[in-house]
Amino acid sequence: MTVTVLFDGTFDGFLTIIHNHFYKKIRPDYIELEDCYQQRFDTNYYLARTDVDKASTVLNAILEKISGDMANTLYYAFLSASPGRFIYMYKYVVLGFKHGKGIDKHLHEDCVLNTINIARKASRERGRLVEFLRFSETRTGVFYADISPENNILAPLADFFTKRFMNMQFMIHDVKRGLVAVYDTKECVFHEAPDDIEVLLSNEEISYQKLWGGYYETAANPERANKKLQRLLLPLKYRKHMTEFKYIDDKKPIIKR
Amino acid sequence: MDVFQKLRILTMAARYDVACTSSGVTREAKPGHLGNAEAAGICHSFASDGRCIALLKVLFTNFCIYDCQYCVNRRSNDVERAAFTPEELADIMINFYKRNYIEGLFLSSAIIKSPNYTMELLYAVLKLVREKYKFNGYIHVKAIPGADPELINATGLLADRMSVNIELPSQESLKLLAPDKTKESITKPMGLIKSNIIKNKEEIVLFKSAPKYVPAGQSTQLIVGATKESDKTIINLSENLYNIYNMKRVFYSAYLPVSNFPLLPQVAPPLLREHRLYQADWLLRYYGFNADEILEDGEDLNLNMDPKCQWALKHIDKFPVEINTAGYYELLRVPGIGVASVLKILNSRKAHNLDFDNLKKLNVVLKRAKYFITCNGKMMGQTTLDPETLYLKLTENKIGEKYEQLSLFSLGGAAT
Ligand code: SF4
Repeated sequence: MTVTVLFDGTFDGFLTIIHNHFYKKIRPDYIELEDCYQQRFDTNYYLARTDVDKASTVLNAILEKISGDMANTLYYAFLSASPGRFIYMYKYVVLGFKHGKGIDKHLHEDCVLNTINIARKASRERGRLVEFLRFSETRTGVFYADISPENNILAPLADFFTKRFMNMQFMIHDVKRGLVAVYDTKECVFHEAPDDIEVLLSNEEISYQKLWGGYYETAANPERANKKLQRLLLPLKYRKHMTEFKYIDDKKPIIKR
Repeated sequence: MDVFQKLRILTMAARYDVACTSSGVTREAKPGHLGNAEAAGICHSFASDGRCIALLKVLFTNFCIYDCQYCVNRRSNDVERAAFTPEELADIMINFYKRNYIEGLFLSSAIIKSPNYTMELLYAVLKLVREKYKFNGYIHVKAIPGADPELINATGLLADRMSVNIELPSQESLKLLAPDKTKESITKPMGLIKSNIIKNKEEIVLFKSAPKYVPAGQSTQLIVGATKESDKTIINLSENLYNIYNMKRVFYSAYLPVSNFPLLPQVAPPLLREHRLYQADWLLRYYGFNADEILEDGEDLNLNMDPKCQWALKHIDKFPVEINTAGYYELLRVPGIGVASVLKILNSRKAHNLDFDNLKKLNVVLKRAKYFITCNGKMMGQTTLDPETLYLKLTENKIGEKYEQLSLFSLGGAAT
């Protein structure tokens, strides 16, 4: 019989699974979410009850015995949208406790390579949104941005902007997941997006959008047009949220409701 | 004239300047200030020519008292002219930054009234941006040849990078095409920036609070193909600029015909040449090559393959290189293998011996490298080390690489 562990989908829950591996000898072949899994008869189910103390014991052990890099990799792999990631991550950590600091050299192990790759994908997406996210100034002076990332990277993304725009109130809206990060110049809080978010742009906003759209068009050298390269570097899926493309598409600045 | 038009004209006029990278300084955010700087460099958008848009890159003005023949802004050229006020430009720049359109400012200018007058205007922009708006992000500014040292100095204290364009690869070409400029008017500010950077580093050791002088260093740009210099002359010049002036970057720009001046070519040199020069420059800066290894005197780079392949074919006795034992610089000299791949190889061979499958798993591209390496003494497939056969293999089917995709820099004339 195989072993399937169910958990609540939180990072602490995941770390609890690692704790159970070492202290309860529960070694899963599959890891699934407790509120969405397929009933099967050829496997034994265990529920990992999330325990914050166990989780922090495991996290500290990772930081001390393995590395900060691993903690970072796990965090991004966790935010990744890749299905089946939990089992790779689990094996990666267990192997990490065996090999210590040098674990990331063992790229010939699937769990190491896969975890690192999905983490890299998520962190790369965050990197791209650091570049491609666009704020618009609203009438209340709060800067608003909408995104629809594949991976759940709102938190580390907002973190970048709280550092960069320390004195600016902003809101980043993950429209795909219905989440918002709201920063009021002191702290950044995350919660579910209310259904009725209404974005009213300030008057100046429209002229800056026009200026930027114009700048964007003029900066290109028409004699060296290279749309293929452009598409490679700036994939279409990002463009629907970007001021310069909205401007070019309909030749007038976007006015959100 | 409204600011939309000004922005259009002065963006167009700045299009010919290549140095649009924001990398080189990391500066943490400060309470009460706007922004920070990331050493890795961030591109905020990509224009329809595939170029990275990282900075607001504009000229302060394109009114010019000079008449450099290779430049669109030359006095005798009939183009639309405009000039910002420092307030207008600072306002646009700060508002772009707040919306996450850009990483910072790249400010250059044609020469209006006099070099000093122009330099003062650039200084005024930087002062507004830094002091009124408390901008803590990235600024690259041009030093105007012929401006007073004090002015260049004061401006440098507000900037992250400062540059003077060398424009043409030799003094004769300069005399011919830019009669108002001399080599000295260009090298003097370069020397000044260098010595200020050094002096400033010493001051910072003494007084922690000393303001930083162009922490990201200086760069320059030269136009390729407007005049007859060989690639070797250009690479030599770059090597000197890196060694003597501690230049951080030299940018190359393939000349785009902007005038009918009889001494200038009417067709643009191949973009590929510009790209090959960037590759050779890369070899100088990161791969431990020197100019004499790359080319013989008077020689040009081969357009059909990258300079590292050319070098490898000339030094075939140095190959094959064994992946499991070769040192850092030996691996770096293998065609097709870059710094990232070398680091991956060095790292992962500590844990276990590498074969070709392992290399593929590490995403090391073997397309070109496979002809030059062994894994545990074995080569991949039947390959030979005969330079002529290899030349054919490396150039056929454009294995050389798609240069267009890599040429992120392009341009024509210059500004200042
Ligand atoms: S290169 Fe500079 S100085 Fe010469 S014409 Fe152009 S803008 Fe004026």
